[in-house]
Formats: sequence, C-alpha cells, structure tokens
Amino acid sequence: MLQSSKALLLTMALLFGCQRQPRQVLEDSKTAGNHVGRAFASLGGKGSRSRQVESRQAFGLPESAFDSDGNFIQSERAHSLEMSEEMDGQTYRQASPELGDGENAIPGIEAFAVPSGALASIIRPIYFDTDQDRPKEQSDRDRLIKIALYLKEHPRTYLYIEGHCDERGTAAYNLSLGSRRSNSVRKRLIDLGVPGSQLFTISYGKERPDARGHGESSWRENRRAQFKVLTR
Amino acid sequence: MFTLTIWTIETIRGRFKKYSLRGVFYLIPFAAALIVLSQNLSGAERELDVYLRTGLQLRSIALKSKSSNFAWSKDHALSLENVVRFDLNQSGYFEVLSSDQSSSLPLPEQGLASFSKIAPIWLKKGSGGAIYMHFCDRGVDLYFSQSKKGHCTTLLQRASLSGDLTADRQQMHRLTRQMHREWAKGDGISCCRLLYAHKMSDERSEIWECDFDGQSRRSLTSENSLALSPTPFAALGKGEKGMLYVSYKSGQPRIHYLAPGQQRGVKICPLFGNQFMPCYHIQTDRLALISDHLGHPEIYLQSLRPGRSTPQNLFKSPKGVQASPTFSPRGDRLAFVSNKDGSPRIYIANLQQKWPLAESDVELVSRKNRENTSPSWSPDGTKLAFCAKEAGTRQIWIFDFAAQREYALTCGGDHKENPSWAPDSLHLAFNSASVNRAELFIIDLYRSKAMQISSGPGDKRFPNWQPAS
Repeated sequence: MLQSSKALLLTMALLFGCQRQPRQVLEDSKTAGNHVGRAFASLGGKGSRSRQVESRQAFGLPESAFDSDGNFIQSERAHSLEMSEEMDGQTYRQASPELGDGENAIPGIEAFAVPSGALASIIRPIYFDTDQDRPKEQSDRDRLIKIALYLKEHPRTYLYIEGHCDERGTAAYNLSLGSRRSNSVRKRLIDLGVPGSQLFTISYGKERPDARGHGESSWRENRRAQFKVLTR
Repeated sequence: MFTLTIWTIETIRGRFKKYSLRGVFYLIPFAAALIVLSQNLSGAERELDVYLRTGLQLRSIALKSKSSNFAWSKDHALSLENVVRFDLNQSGYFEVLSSDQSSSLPLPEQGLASFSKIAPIWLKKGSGGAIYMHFCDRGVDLYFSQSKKGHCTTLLQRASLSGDLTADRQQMHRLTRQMHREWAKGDGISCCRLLYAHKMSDERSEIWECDFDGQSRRSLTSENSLALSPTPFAALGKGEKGMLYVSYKSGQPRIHYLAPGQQRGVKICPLFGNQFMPCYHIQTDRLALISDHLGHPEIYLQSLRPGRSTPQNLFKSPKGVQASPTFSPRGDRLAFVSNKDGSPRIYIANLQQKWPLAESDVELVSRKNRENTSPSWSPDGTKLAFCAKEAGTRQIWIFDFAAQREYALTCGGDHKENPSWAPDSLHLAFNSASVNRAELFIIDLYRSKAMQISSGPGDKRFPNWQPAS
C-alpha cells in the first residue's frame, strides 16, 4: 500500500510539478532562440547582426572609396580606427553642443529645426522594430546613406537625432532605449563617413509620441529616430 | 532529525484567492513526497516544525475627537482628525475603527485623568489602542492609551495649531509619528514626503513633492522643460540636502542638483551626451547613472566629492540597453536593467569586483517574466521591488533575497511602474501608467490593495521617498 501510494505521488509530481503556461514556454523559447542565434553568429566571427550589401552603390559612397580590386578602403580604415579607438571610446564619443566659443559654438537644440523644403525629402524619420535599435527596413537604411551623403557635402549642417519609443515599455527603460536608437543612427552615420562633431543625440523615450493612438500602427510610427537640423 | 519548514507568506498576503486551486493542486504531491522522504530518512526520532509566517496583524484603534472653544472651524478639526486616521490606516500596523463603530464610546470630561478613567471602555472596542483628540483654543490635545499586560497606559501629546491647513497637517503627521514610536517602534512613514515628476504636456514636466498621503503638494522646479526621475540627495557629513533629477532644459537630458529653496538646478556630471536615472548612495558617496557618453547607454559611477568627480564605466554590454540602477543599502551591490540576453531583466553587479564588469560578471535576478524593469532595493536590503509584465500588464513584483523567490505584489488591469521603497521597507510608492493617465499609489507588503494618493490633470510619475526631516 505504502509502495503504491509513493509511486502515485511521484507520478503526480512528475506530471504536474513542472507544468508551465504555454505563454511562458513560448517566451522562454524566444529567449533560447536568441541565444542560439547569437552563438551561430559568433561561430561565424560576427558579434552582431549583419546584412548583405549587394552593390557598391548600396554603401552610398563614391567609386574612390574602393581600390582597384574592389575593396572598400574607407571601410577598412574605419574598421582599423574602430579597433584602435573604440577601446578608449573615441570613435563614437558624444560631442557637446555647448562646447566652443564665439563662431565655433553650437547652440542648443532650440536652434535646430525640423527639416523643411528639399531637405525634408532627404532627412526623414527612421523606424524600428519593438525593443530594437537598428532599422529593419531597407528603405530606412538607404535613407541613412542619403543623409550621410548630404551631411558630408554640407559640413556646416548639424543634426540632432531624437530617439523615440512606443508607449508599451516603462518610461525609464524607454529613455535608455531611445538613447540606444539615436546612438545607433549616429553610429551608422559616422561609419558612413560623417564627422561625429556634426551629430548630436537626444532621447525622449516615450515622452513625445508622434501618433496618439494605442494600437500597432501608432506604436510603429512612434518607434522612430527623427531629426532636427541646423545649417550655419 | 529532519526539520521541515514551510513558508506560507503568499496565503497571508491575500494572493490565496487568486492562486488557491492551482497552488494547492501543485503543492499536494510535493508536500506528500517530502513527508514520505522524511519518514524514510529520519528513522525513529522525527520532528516536524511548521512555521507559519502570518505577516503583520493590524491592531484596531478606537479614535474619536471633540472640539470646544476651538479657534477655527469644525471642518478644520475634522480635516486634521482625518489626517491622523489616514496615517494610522496606512501605517501597515493599525486599523482605525469607523466613525459608526466608535460612535457609542463615551467622551471624557477634561484632562488626562478623565480620559484614563474611560480608556478601558474604549480599549474594549479598539483592542490595539485608543486615541482621543481634543481641539481647543489654538491647539490640540491628543491622548493615546494602550493596554499592556492588563495595565492601561495613557499619554498626552500637545500641539499648537496655526489655522493653516498645510502647516497643521504637518503637526498631525508628527503626532502620528510619536504614536507610532510608542506603539509600533520606528518612525513609520507619516512624516515622509514623496518626490515625483508632474507632466503637464509633452514639452513640460516639473518636479513636485507632496506628503505621503498626496496632500500639501508643491512644485520644486520651474524650468519650463522636461524634468524627470527625482531622487533625494544628502551630502555626507555636511547636512546639505537637496534633490537630483534629470532636466532637458539645456537640450540633452542631464542630471542636475537642486539645492533647497532653489528653483533651477545645476549640472553635476561632466559626461557629454544624454544622462538618465540618477541614484545616489550617501555612505559610499556614489552616484550611479546611465550615460551615452561613448555612444552607447551604459552605467557609470561617479563620486560627488570635489576633485573626485570623474565618472567611471561600471558595466560594458555593447549589444544591450542598460537602465535604472539602484544601490543595495550597504552600497556594495547595484541592481539594474539590461536586455543583454534578449528581453529586459534585472541583474545585480558586485561593486567590490574590478570595473568595468563584463556581461558574465553580473547575476540574473528576475527569471519568471520576460520584461522586468525599474528595480528598487529595499532599505533593509532584504527585497528588490521591480516592474514585470505579467499576462500583458506591468505589475509590481518583489524579489525576496532570503527565500530566493519572486512574487507579484499587485494585480489588476492598469500598468504599474517605478516602484520606490519607503524608509520603513514596508511600503512602496509607484505610479500607474494607463492610457493618458498616470497617478501615484502607495501600498504595503501585507495588503495587496493599493491606495491612490493623487488626482487631477497631468501625469504623476517617478515617485521617490524623501526620508522624514
């Protein structure tokens, strides 16, 4: 009798002791999938998400940026710079708009304006997926290339990159996420050859939504990096 | 000898209703298996200790007041009585009988001796204590009586009143603190104030403060800008108090220090870029903050002593978003949010290790839910409150370090954010985050029903307790 009751109890413990809700299982599977994906990426020598560039033009850079063998000179130089300087944080280090005297001083964000006229067709917002800091759409990535080209041609044009989030995260976390988004855009522009001193970031988290709705379409519009410009 | 200790905090905390069926269903096989094992292992001599933690028993208090020749209106007296009533009801130790329940109690003629005579009658109704408030002339006499080992002890506290409701409310809070010291030990929270950010529009949010009951509100900043994340600041050994907060007044968000009596803060952190979420630990003189100085939001630690103000990077996670640092009471550990492993979770960094810490140097705390943010370390060091998304709604959760487990403190449909511990490690303040509405709430660990303490236009967020002065 005792033996059978023990067996029954152990069976019940095995059957029900580790039971979890389907939602928890799904969420854990997502996390596990993320880790596995990163592991495969690291096996291939890639520490982060990558994408395939199909043509030189996709870099948005002139032919002079490539050598006779088609190697991307500036990219390699940037890479070596990144390796040598990112250690002490110089490559993407924030510039201060308050630095400089007299003519060199960059005014505060209140002097920057939403792009208008022809500039508005080039400098347009970039959109992100939930909790992501890299633009997913090819059109957004192409837009960054165009913005980089414009800024390189206009070295006296300065850009404030605003990082925004949708309403679903907490206010505190979204401030960090907004910072991450604006810095991701800034980093990409620097990689494309724009001097970091032309680029400033600001995170508003979910404090300044663009769309006032509370559904997926509004959330998509609010997960954005948008720009303000100053030309001197 | 085999000792089995069963903790049943959950049932006491009122979560029994929600999880009773499932909890009991799961508990039966495990409890039975443990008992069978204990029988097999312990042999002839067996001892079974069952420890039931009951939480705090609320003590019922009989409270009644009378006005005679009072210099101000009866409404004023009633307002002040309600302050004491609210303070006691929210103390986490007492429960005041309703006016109906105490209406039959006899009132004393006058003086301490008179109340001492009738106090035993009152104590039959309110076994935890009896309070009689006598408003007369320009003050209030507050008699409070308690039965200890069959003896009735009555004390008298006097306070002069000014007729100004705000000032007189403070007097009532002080009287309640005195009663709390006598009856429950410790100061309680009646004299604590809350800092919070009051957002009036997308462009404007100022820092305000209020009593813990949401009254006596006043604006501390007037910068016509976005001001967020207030946290109390007290310079060690200088007696200098003030507040740290984040302000957008010069464009990028920067951490500012606001001295008492001032309305505009000054920057205290030399890093470029965006700065967020200050958290200050007075004993170690360390300010923890989030900064994207190097192009990525990371945690920095900075001393605020003159000449030692260079911030240092604490933790490097190139692919993660870090947020919301909070110190342990001793300042030797730091809890924070990171999404380095996929979704935002709470991690703890040991500050006694060499900085900057690598991703593998920090310990994961929150495991049950995927989205965990806004951690707050209790002043007694035993618990961590944080915000976790459960079934689509952000609730306040507690991680108990002793039991090594996490559980939900709140329930209900509205999102909750930014938990902050009161100095007594028993109460929390947080804000709701519903669509177009954010209000302040307080809650204690033993009653799952939160009390809303704010109302009116604008979002009230980022509550943070100021210790009683």
